[in-house]
Amino acid sequence: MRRCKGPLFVLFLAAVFVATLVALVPARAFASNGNALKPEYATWSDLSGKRVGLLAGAPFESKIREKCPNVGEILYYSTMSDTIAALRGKKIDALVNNEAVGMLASNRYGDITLFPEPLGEYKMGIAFPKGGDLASKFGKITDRLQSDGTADRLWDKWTSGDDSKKTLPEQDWAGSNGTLTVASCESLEPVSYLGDGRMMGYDIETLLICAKELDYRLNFEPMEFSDVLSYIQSGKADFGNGSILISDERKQAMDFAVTHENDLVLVVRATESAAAASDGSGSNWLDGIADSFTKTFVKDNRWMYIVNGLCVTAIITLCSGVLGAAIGFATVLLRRRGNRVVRAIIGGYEGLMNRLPIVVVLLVLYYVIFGSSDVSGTVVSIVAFTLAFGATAGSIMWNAVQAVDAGQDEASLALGFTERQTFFGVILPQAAHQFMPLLSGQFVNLTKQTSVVGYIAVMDLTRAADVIRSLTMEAFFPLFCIAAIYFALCCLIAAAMGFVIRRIDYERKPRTVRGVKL
Amino acid sequence: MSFIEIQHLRKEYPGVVPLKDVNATIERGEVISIIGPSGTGKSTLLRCLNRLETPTSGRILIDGVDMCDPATDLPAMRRRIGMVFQGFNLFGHMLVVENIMYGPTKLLGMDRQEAYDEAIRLLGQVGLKDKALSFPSELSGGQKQRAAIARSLAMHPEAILFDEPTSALDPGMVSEVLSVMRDLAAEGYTMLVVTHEMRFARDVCDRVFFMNDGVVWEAGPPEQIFENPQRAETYGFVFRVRSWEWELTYPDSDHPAMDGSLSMFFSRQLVGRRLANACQHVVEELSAERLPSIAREVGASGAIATYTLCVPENGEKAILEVDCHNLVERGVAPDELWHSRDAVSDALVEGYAVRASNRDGSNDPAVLVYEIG
Ligand SMILES: Nc1ncnc2c1ncn2[C@@H]1O[C@H](COP(=O)(O)OP(=O)(O)OP(=O)(O)O)[C@@H](O)[C@H]1O
Ligand SMILES: [Mg+2]
Repeated sequence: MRRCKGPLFVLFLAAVFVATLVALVPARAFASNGNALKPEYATWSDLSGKRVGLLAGAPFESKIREKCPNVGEILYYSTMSDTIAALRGKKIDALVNNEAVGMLASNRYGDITLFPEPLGEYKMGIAFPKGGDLASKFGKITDRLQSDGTADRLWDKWTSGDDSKKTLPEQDWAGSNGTLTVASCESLEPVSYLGDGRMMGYDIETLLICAKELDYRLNFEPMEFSDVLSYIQSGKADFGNGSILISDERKQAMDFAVTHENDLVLVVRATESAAAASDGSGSNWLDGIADSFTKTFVKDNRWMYIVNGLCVTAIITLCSGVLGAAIGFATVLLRRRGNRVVRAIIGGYEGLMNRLPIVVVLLVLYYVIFGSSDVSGTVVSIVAFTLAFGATAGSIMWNAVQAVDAGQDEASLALGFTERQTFFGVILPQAAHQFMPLLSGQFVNLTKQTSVVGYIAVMDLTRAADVIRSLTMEAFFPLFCIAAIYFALCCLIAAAMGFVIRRIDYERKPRTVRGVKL
Repeated sequence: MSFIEIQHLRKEYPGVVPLKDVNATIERGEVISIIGPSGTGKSTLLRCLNRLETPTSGRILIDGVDMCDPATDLPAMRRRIGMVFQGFNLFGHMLVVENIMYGPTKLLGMDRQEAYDEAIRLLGQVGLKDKALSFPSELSGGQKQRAAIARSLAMHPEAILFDEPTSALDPGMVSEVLSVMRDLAAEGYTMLVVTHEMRFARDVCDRVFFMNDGVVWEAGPPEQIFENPQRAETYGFVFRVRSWEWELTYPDSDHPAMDGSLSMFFSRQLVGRRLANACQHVVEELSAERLPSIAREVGASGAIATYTLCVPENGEKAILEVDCHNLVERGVAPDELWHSRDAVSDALVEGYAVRASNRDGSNDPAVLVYEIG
């Protein structure tokens, strides 16, 4: 029964995939680069009651309300690509970003365009933890870059349509003052974004100029915008960048160096998009698919994001699965031997882990417990999932151990076996027969649950798809690709566990006695 | 020095004291049965002997080794004393033969082939050779218990403790287990048997311990305990367990269950086979024919009669009382009852006379009394 379900399900998945492809791609594939389109809303009063999307952590809400007091709900997204997708999918009616990012997005899609009136001009820059001397060192240089015209030159370079010029200098200087860790927002093209596997953009080049002058080396850690601020405040990074708006409120918590002054703009949907944007040649939607596929996987070796993400997911899953099972088993042994205090502690641990959302555990471990230490997100994820899986595995195993009829325990002791021999020889084989199928299910669950490690900026499979989405602004291929990979991974794990389960299933074993001539 | 010495043994649980002050000595080769009302600490005593329970105070010496001394190597001592449980407790994940080989190979370091051959021999001894490659779950209760006995024999124990080995068995399977135990007793094993099988206790055991109120209330040879008890409580117990009660219902009566219950009663008691057959004959005649036909006439339903069968003294005769109050209340004339009663009586079954008689000291017309003997 189990054997024949797998292929059926794959078939089903494939069918859904193809159907969606046929339905979606023609409509999406032909976004032409933009002639000025008519925005759906043109005045501030048009936006009354409309929903506006912001990046999580962006403090624009009050500024929007200044311009348009009756604006509707404000929604927060974790990446710019999600925000743009929400706008195009009519889940929101406008989004806010700096001009460069907004222009690029509206140029890329025919169905969105800039709202005619800017929200205002603001200073943006690099954020440092409060109180260090780095902020003023960097600030002096960035101020000079703006007054001597270098900033404008860089701005033109990175906002131009010519991708070939967008290169960065190598860090070939000595770096005798040490290496600084930079929390960099990965999805704000052209200011700060992941391209070809490394951080690029206006902010990045500015930072490199500063670092060269100050003789630091920089280690960029790409992450979502909302994580950048947490990284700075918890001390995990020496500073962070990503068009961070410099506000009075933020100045109380952080120090800033200004990198650019820029209009904040709103992006809204364009009204004539479909007619204007489509070139009408419905016949080559296959080219659209191919183009989309190329953008997602082939260009800049983007498939490497998926491969690396898969490795990270697999490492987290396997390590925490194995370590968690070991912890669970240890709790069983302790419960058997231990006194009431030990049992109470174990019960408390299981109760706690079973009642906390794993995301909360991740965040607490990452930003509080390991907050100021230099422990990588992957390790923190392994710790969190090990703790969680240990609790689950422990209670499953303990229940199974207790379900083995206590009489066999006594019979073994009465024969002259020690407690230890009794446990491993009589109780455990029968308990394992009970708990292995449950454990297998929980292991598969664990695999799926690891998809939340992006919350602490770990580049797992799900995050890899997010990054590709924010580069291509297309969701279809990355998401289906990782769905298929997760599915295959879970099947693989279930199959491996099934193999073990069959090996220990004494009911299936042949009726012979090992090492004996019958 | 005796093989097993129990001195001032006391065991307390929170709120209960099942063993207050147990003293006993047991010699090698003795077969002891331990009888007594439920909850008087028989199992607790047995479990203290191999230290599955830790006594609160007192001493247990087995072959001179103090079982309560923390320095004693308990697993090593337990290898010398087998135990057979009421619930069999065979290892569910092993074949029957592996159950038996398990101890010798792992604990005595016996070669697997040798252990296997020995296990097969033991299975032959308990009549289970053809079940060697079955799982315990595939055996009947009696077979499981015989396999469990073989498992404990495989360790070559110097003594074997049996805790109600037949109590979890259907009546038909009791005798197969008891007969294996009889053989062991004849082979000279030292055995302590907690049991409700009075017949086994009387026929097989050298001594009987009657446990009551946390102490060995009376100990002695079976003839003393069963025929000439020295203490009133012993007499009360031995006699009380010698009566059987059954409520006959109409129209749906469960004859197989009644027969089973009655057989079990006879098998546990000191009742000989011929007397048992005679009693069974009378009960069956009444239950299958006489009483249902009367009930049918008056349209009675539900409980129509209650049997009480006593086997007093030394099991040479039996008294059967049939309480028919429910029928009389439905308007059955005593004459008619007596007629039926007499139709069954005055017969000779297997050499036993069946006489209708009046109950001692009363003339209740609704109670039919038979004396079978
Ligand atoms: N582990 C335990 N914890 C608490 N009380 C117990 C425990 N084991 C036995 N007892 C109590 O000790 C008393 C004696 O129990 P035990 O099982 O020895 O009686 P028994 O003579 O074997 O009875 P039976 O004929 O019903 O088997 C009972 O009252 C029982 O409730
Ligand atoms: Mg008992």
